[in-house]
Amino acid sequence: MKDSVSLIPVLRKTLGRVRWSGIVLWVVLSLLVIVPVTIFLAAAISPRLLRVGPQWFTLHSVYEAFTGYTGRGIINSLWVSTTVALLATTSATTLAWLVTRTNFYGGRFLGAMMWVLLLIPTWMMTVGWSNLITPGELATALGINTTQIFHAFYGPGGIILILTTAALPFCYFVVSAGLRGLGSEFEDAARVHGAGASRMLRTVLPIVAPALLSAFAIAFAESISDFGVAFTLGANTHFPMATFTLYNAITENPANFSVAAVIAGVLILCTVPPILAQARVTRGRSYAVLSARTRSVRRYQFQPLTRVLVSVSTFALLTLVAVMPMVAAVATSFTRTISFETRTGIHWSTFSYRQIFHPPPSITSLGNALGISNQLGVYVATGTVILGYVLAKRLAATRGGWSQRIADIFLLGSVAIPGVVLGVGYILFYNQAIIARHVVSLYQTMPLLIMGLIAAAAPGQARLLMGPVAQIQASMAEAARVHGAKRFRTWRTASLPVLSRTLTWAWVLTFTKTIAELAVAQMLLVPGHEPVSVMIETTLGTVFAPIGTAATVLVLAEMLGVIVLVLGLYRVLTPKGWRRIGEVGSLR
Amino acid sequence: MTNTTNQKGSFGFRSMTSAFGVSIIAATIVVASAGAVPVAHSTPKPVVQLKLYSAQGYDSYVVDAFNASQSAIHVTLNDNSTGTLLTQIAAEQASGNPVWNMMWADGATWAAQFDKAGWSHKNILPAGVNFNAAGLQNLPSNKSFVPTGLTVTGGLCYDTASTQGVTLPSTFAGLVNLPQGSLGMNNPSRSGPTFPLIAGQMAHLEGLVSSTTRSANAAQIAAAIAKGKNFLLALKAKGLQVHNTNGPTLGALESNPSTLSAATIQTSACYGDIAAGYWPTGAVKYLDYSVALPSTIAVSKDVTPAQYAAAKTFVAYVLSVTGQHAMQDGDPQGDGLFWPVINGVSPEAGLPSYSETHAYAINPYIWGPLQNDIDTWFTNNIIY
Repeated sequence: MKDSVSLIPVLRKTLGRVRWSGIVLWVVLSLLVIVPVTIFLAAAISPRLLRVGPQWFTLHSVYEAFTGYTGRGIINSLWVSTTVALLATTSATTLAWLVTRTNFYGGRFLGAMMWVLLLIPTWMMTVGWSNLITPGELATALGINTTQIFHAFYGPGGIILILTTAALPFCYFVVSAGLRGLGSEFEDAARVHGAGASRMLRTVLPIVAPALLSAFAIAFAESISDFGVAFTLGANTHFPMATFTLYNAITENPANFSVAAVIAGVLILCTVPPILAQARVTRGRSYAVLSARTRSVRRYQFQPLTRVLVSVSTFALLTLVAVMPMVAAVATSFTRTISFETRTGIHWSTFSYRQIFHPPPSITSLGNALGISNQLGVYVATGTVILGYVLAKRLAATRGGWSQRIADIFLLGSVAIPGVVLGVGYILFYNQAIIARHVVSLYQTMPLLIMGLIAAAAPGQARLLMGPVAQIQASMAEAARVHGAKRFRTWRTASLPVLSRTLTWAWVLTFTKTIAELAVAQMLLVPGHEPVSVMIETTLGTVFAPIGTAATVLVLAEMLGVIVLVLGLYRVLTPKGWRRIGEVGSLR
Repeated sequence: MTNTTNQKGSFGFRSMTSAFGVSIIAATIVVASAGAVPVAHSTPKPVVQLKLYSAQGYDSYVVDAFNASQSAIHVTLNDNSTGTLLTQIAAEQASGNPVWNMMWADGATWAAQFDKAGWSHKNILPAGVNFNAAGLQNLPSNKSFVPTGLTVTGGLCYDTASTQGVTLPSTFAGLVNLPQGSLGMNNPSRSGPTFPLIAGQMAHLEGLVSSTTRSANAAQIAAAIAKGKNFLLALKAKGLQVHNTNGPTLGALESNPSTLSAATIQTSACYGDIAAGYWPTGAVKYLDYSVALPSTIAVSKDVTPAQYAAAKTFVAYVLSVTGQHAMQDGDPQGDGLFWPVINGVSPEAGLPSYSETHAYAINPYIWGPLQNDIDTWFTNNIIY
């Protein structure tokens, strides 16, 4: 009795030391990602575990995945993703420097262009390029012979171009957030000590290393897991990509989950080297440069002619790679034909748009589908921003233990999980008889779809938030605490103002991405409540493809409207000071 | 000082983690409880619920019409692409808790695979169905699936303008004589009707009799596959272009300038574009044979007796005059362009008689299990 009494304080003390918050976080991550994906990956070596083969243990699928075109797909995905990550990070850093550190014309407009690029899914971008350069499409109508470009496009060149364009805004926002938070005192200090331009760059760039490495890592992971471009371009070329061979394996009849699991495992493992590189560079060092005393920057002044030339050439290039494909898609949506120019000419018409609102019986109404997608967007964006912020805080901690390192590897690995794998993993786990019949039946319900979409979005968002979060100096929170603020007030008054812009961006980005997301939505949709992405994809594959294209344009317009609305609300509702913090370079 | 900093940093992180972690869990639970089905509290419903997985353009129209005609049965539709639906079903089967009740898609090879895997119910044909000859030909002996309509794949869709001066072949063998790079087809890994076309070419080249039930020995099948592969390689040598699905193939045919002059695809897609006015210079020519492509329904073997009876009621509706008309009305320029499988219903205007298609039937139980191997060969040798 005496012993048991003395145990209570010990137990209390032990329990008090437990980091419950960390445990809760890992439980959430387990339910969202770890368990469903692990179950799917188990099929790689144990088909019988999932009733997809007779063997309890076999390496046959591993051999199969690395031979033939599946093996080539893995190799191709690796070098393409590395190239894309390098190109995107370099280009984004150049653009971010131009906007935040020089007298470049149209910085705000460039930021808006990045937003537009960010919300366009790769499959939509590919459709746009096809609408532009395929013989018989817009460029042909403008008198340009695109035959050579068309054939060159359907290969690694086209894939790299589109993936780089897609990764560019991710990298731009991460790097520009880092540069905005960096006052010019570091550059001044380098110059005062006699550094030239090159030496000064070598001094300053490492300070934004978390942002640069985040940009590289996320571009690599997003590229290697991208399905849209592999599905649309890779499938029609002699150039297999891993995501496409994975999809082929999953949609075979009967489905070859084992080979798909091997490919998925390889994709996830491929993200480890960039993370380790990032960890090696950043571990144990502090990159917190954003404090209450951060000063405004002095911008590099181009000569007038150079300024015009740099600005015009930058926008011309961006217009070519980002705007023209969308213009082609919009133009095509205003014709009544599948191809823009037919042998009987161009048939301009608003028929497809009218059909959206008065659809034939075989097509789901756009209004219903869009309503469902908007609901999903609100839930998923809110959940993702909360979870992403918590994860970013964990990743950004300078003294993390094993838990942080695992979280680090796990999170970027999760970015590389193709949505279709997540979707199938969710069915395999949440539809297990023991769970569905005795705990809760979540399959084909909105909650499971929301969970799946959050699981798909949160790792990427955490990566995006990590850069800005890492730059907040602890001194600000310390100051608040010294002045008697409680925990929540400390966060609200010290962190929230600094991060409010980033968090708002993250919310809007997740919202728009959710509306365009296809792979998870297809697998986990609630019958009778198809999201708009599924409705469009279904329509594009039929005789009503022009209606699908028109619906795509309207959805894009809706996304833009939401962005304008949310950012407008942010401007109206937040104190002026919030909007200036973290943007010291824009005070002029 | 250092210690103080660490404590504060740790404190900030932990507080946030705690607050938001709990928020996430709470939100998940709230959302889950709002929309999930709590098993312990579920109550039996008087109406028999059926989940229909379908990739047919007319499915929602037919389901609405059926539900309107029934008070004791309610069908919920999962409308998706064939590949996605098959993946969902495979995952459900692997989880040990299949929730699909009926599957409806083009082709019979998937349905034969379901039967061989033991996933589908046998004897799902209701009494009183008045099949025509084509319908009967596509009905398996164990009635583990039923045909609901017929289209054909492998007719020659061509553009009359871009083939001016070109002598179109009248046989499949003659396709190798088309000008270099002018012929197209779809990718069997992405296009449902394309594997049956390839299987039909192989079977026909070996001289197998047109039948959905007649078996063939291993030597005949091996010879058929070898001849079919050689034929496809010969087409590739003549610049065969492979697009994913009907949409891109038709786009390549219809553009100006066109990148394709002719393609062997599902002819209903060509008729659809012509009827919709998208392709005024389009036309269809039938060669020495095309391959019959029935749309089929299968029923899960895991349905309850009440659901089994309800599923047969649905099948009976689809195979009635009313049901066949609903299929036509539900997608008149798309999947509704089929040849009915029962007597007393005419195909839509614009379709030729079924006999003009020289439809050739394959045994799905022979060719279904070979699909993955042949698709992989096609991907490795014709596409890549």
